[in-house]
Amino acid sequence: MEVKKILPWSTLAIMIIAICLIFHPASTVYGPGGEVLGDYYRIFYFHVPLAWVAYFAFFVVFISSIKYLQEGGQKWDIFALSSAEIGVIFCGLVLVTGMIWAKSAWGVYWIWDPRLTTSLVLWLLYAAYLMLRSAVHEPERRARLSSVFGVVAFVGVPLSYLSIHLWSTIHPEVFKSGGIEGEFIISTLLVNLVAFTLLYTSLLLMRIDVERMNEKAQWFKKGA
Amino acid sequence: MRRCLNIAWKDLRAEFRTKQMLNSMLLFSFLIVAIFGFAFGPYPERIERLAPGVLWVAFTFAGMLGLSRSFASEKEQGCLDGLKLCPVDRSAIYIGKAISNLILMFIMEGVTIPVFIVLFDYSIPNLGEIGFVVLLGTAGFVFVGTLLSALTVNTRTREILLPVILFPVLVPVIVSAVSATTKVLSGVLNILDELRILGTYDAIFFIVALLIFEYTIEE
Repeated sequence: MEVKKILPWSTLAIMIIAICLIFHPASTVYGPGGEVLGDYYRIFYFHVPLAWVAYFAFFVVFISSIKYLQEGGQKWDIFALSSAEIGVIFCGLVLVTGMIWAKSAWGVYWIWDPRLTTSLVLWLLYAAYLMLRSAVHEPERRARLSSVFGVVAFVGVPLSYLSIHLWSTIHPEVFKSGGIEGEFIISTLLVNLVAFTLLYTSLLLMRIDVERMNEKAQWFKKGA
Repeated sequence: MRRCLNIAWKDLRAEFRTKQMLNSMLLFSFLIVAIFGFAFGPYPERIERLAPGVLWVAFTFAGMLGLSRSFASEKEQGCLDGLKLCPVDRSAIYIGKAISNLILMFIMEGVTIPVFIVLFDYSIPNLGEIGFVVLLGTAGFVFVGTLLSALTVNTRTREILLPVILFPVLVPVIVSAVSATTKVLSGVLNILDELRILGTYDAIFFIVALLIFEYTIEE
């Protein structure tokens, strides 16, 4: 119980620190030639953590689906549902922040680049996952069928992550030598990663609570 | 393996008696090619740029018709329960279904390609390589499609749901198959990258489907 009380507040605190760091003058992003890039480049501090959380959320769906198929248990299904919902939102935000950045950097909102395409596919996959869930009404069958799809859909995650190695792309690669440099920039990014991971965890716990209450309400309705 | 072939043989025999599915698949793929003909005008200039897209749209859309019926026909007559009572492994049902779906797809593709050649007056170069790409691409399509067809047959809106959940999963296959076909048609035979992606995809989904197929038809 204690963790659930502390977590939202610590998330809020770290989010505020993270946002302050983003707008700190020292976290200005430099281009490959050392030139100062415009302030809109700071959106990258949101973009990268969002993408990481989306991947992680879909990984949780994958693991929970396997667990459900192996040993059953409604809690794994609730886990998968909650994580998928958050993942779809974060993945959508990845696309939106990416588009805002692309308009400034490349001059267009969207190009059919492998990284962008695979991220869009990832969003579609998990939107389809939620569609599938809404199409089945019996809880046990819904859990089983969506677990099968949760395993299948995970193929999109490595595909999106590895797309910059598989095909030629113009999407910048962050984690490599010559990607990002400077201690302050890296630590700002790391603080943001921690902040968004905590945000994901708090949202997940809240969503699970909501689902449990929902079930309780259903159970009372049946009893009445 | 014999058991898988028996299930596939049963499916194909039932299909060739009515030819319901095959006829609609053939007619639909013919329609798609014709519609592209109307859309692009009678004599498109750069037909070799359009051909891969037209062919793969025809294959996947017509294939979707077949897949959506693949398990639905079993469900309606209660045959699925009979199949499940057979003393065979559940994965044998999957392999059997996949084989019969593959054969129907190959028949449909074998008719669509000549129709395309005739309607667009286009002679396809490197037919052997095209055949190989089509083989690998269709295998990936059918391996995923058969699994998801079994999955959606238990939902109420299965005809709508199958394309919605199948196409995002299929994107890697369609992208690589179209790109390999484009290369081969323009005379470039260095398609190892695409073939590697197609081969890996086929292998991964075949194994994944074998492992989790039984959960889709459980009651």
